[in-house]
Amino acid sequence: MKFGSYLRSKAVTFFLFAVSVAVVVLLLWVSAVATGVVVVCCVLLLLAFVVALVWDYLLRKRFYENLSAVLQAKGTSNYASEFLTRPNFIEGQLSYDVLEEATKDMNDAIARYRIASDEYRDYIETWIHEVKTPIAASRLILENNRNVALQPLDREIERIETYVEQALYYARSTAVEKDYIIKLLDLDQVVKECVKKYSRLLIENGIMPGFENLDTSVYADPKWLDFVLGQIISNSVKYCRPRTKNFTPSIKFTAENFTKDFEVTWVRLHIKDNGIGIPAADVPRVFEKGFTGENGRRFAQSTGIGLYLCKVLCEKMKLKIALSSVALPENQKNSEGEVFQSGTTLTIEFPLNKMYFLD
Amino acid sequence: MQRVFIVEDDKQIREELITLLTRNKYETKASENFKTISEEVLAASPDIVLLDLNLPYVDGYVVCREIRERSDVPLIVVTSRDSDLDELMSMNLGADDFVTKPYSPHILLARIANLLKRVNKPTVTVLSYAGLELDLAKASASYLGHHIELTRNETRILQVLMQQAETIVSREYLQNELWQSDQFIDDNTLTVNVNRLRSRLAGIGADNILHTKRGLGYILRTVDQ
Repeated sequence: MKFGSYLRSKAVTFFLFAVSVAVVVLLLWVSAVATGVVVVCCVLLLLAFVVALVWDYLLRKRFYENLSAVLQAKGTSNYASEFLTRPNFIEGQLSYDVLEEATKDMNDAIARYRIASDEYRDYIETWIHEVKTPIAASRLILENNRNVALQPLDREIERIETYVEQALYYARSTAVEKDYIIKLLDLDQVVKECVKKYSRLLIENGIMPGFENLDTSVYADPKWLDFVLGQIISNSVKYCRPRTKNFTPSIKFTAENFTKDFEVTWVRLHIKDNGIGIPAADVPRVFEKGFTGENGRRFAQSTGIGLYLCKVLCEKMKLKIALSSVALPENQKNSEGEVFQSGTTLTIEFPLNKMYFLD
Repeated sequence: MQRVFIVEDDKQIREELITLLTRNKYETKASENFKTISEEVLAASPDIVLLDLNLPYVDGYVVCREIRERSDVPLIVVTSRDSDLDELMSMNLGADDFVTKPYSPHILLARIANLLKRVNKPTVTVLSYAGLELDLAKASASYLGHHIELTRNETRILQVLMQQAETIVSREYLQNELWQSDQFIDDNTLTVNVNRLRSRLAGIGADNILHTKRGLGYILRTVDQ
């Protein structure tokens, strides 16, 4: 608090003081008091006024300065009163008490919601683990009673499983604590295990996987990475329908090593499909939560959660994920002629420096 | 025959596991007395144990430890708890493998066979149907004294068909089985493989046994209706 701005806030006091001094001088002059006495009176009054003013200013100065410092520091508002000491003037005490009460209420409310959301997440996790038992039972029943007519049921159960898994990872992605373990993984193995997991879906849609240069290691959490790859594969399947007779839908996994000073510094994994692609206007928004875009509207079955979760999980694991796409032009959609080279490529970048993960 | 002891409290899963394992040439044993389950497992002296972690009365970890204190029987933990901590706990308590629910039945069977192989207790390696014998360990087939060596894919295809003899096996199912053993073959390659297998079987006299069901898949049957 500047002294100038303090004085401005006391303008009314100044005015009243000036008026009362003028009135006193007038009265004394009318009463024919000696000029010297009048001057002494004025000086005394002025002195008392200035001393009172300075005293009052110094009293407030520290409190208000602390207060405005707290106001300027971002992200401290929920424990603001902790930075202040209760002042010894009435307005200051009042505002201090209000602030203390308000932060206490706010913190109580935050704690309540945090507990509620933790409990909810715990419940969702428990529920998911419970629902896995009947899913496992259903799969066994189908396996033991294999029948061509029941094959679609197998596929539906697989879909339920995918959705359940997505919910589990959504719940986990909102966790504040770190609940993943970064390990050195064999990329080839992780990718192939994931393809095997989605084998039925790929086979049914006639999509052939391709693997290139995957003989490398990366740092990631095995389950999280498996989930991310799974989401990418199931996305590709959705938008990878056979278009012409000579067209084979495919999904290719290619790794690229980047070296510096003869040491691999990072690995990029490209997952490229030759599906219908994503319109250029939608590409920048694909990782947004709930974004479904043009393809989502046309093909339904899109929740806009899959890629969002991929991004969140990758960021938590300190991996970069990016998407590029060439969309199939409208007039090419059912043509029997030359196949347009459309498709989507997801790229995950794995840093190989261990230090990168220490935080 | 290898004996599998199933510790699982969900009745449906237990029964289906018994059916699945019996069909795949295992002898099974299960119990519902979870209070004394470790005693029962040890008394049965099985070749391998499948253990669920969520059990009534006792914790799966406790059962795991009790069994380990007195026996080295191969043990697979099968559970819906899938955190790294659960996996670590199981391994620390002496489990040999960890499979999370919902598992695909093929994966479970593969893990069981792998574990038994690791502890030198080979599973059934010779399959037979109507005089045709398939030796999985040697990857060879024989029919009435004639032998042929088979490729990896041919062995796998014949194995699946023999395990489900006299029922139609769809092309997708066969393709999936091959994918599961890292052979990511396409539809055409499967056709080539099956046709080649058929002609090779005919070469040792086992003709008219592998039939194509148009639009449905393949079937292993001595008489074709």
